[in-house]
Amino acid sequence: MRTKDKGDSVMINYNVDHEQITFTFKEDINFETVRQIETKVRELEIPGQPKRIVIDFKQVRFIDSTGVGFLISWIHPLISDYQIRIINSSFPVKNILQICKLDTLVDIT
Amino acid sequence: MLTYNFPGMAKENVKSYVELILRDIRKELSLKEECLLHYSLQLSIWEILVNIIDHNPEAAAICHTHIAIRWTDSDIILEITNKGSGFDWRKYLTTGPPSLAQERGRGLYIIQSISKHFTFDENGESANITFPRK
Repeated sequence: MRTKDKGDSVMINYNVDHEQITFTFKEDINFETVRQIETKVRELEIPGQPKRIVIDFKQVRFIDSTGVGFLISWIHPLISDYQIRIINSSFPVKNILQICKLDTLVDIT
Repeated sequence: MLTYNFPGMAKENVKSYVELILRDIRKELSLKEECLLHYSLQLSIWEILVNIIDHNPEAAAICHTHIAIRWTDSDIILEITNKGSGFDWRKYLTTGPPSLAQERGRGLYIIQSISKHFTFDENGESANITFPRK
């Protein structure tokens, strides 16, 4: 399978293959980190294809309300064009995302 | 009971203060880092400290922030006070989640959702949050 790395940073890995676009967050998402994360993700030009976006939270141990706010503002405009899934979220992080109704926008596992 | 008195509160201190408190709580209450209660305590202290700074950064930097953590067999009670950082908390403790179009303003709603009881004193200078231990 052809895989193209579109960008690596300290905080995020970004990868596109035939099936999906993958964002791997490598840091906690909170008021300390969110500005840099947001700058990074907004720099990335998301291709029109494939239509599936996976956001990997395996390394996200903590997210605060600022982090949730960023996620919602980033994901919300994308849901009309992409099927989006957050994977590998820990139980406490998933709980916070659900409390903030992010599970009404994307699948969270 | 655990008590703390931080002389100045700024955003660059929040992480280290929260880590210090959580380390003591883990030790005193034999709490595992990966459990939901640990996360709830961590996030609640974090959000209240950020709230103090956001509402009045100058007062937060000058006024001491007192944190007391008490526990019984059934509950853990946090009390976080900064005498200079009062605000109209009733405006922020809504009955439902903020709209998805809203980027900010979820901190207190989250605490309300993950705790058993959450309130402020009249002036919004002291937060009182209770968590069930089980």
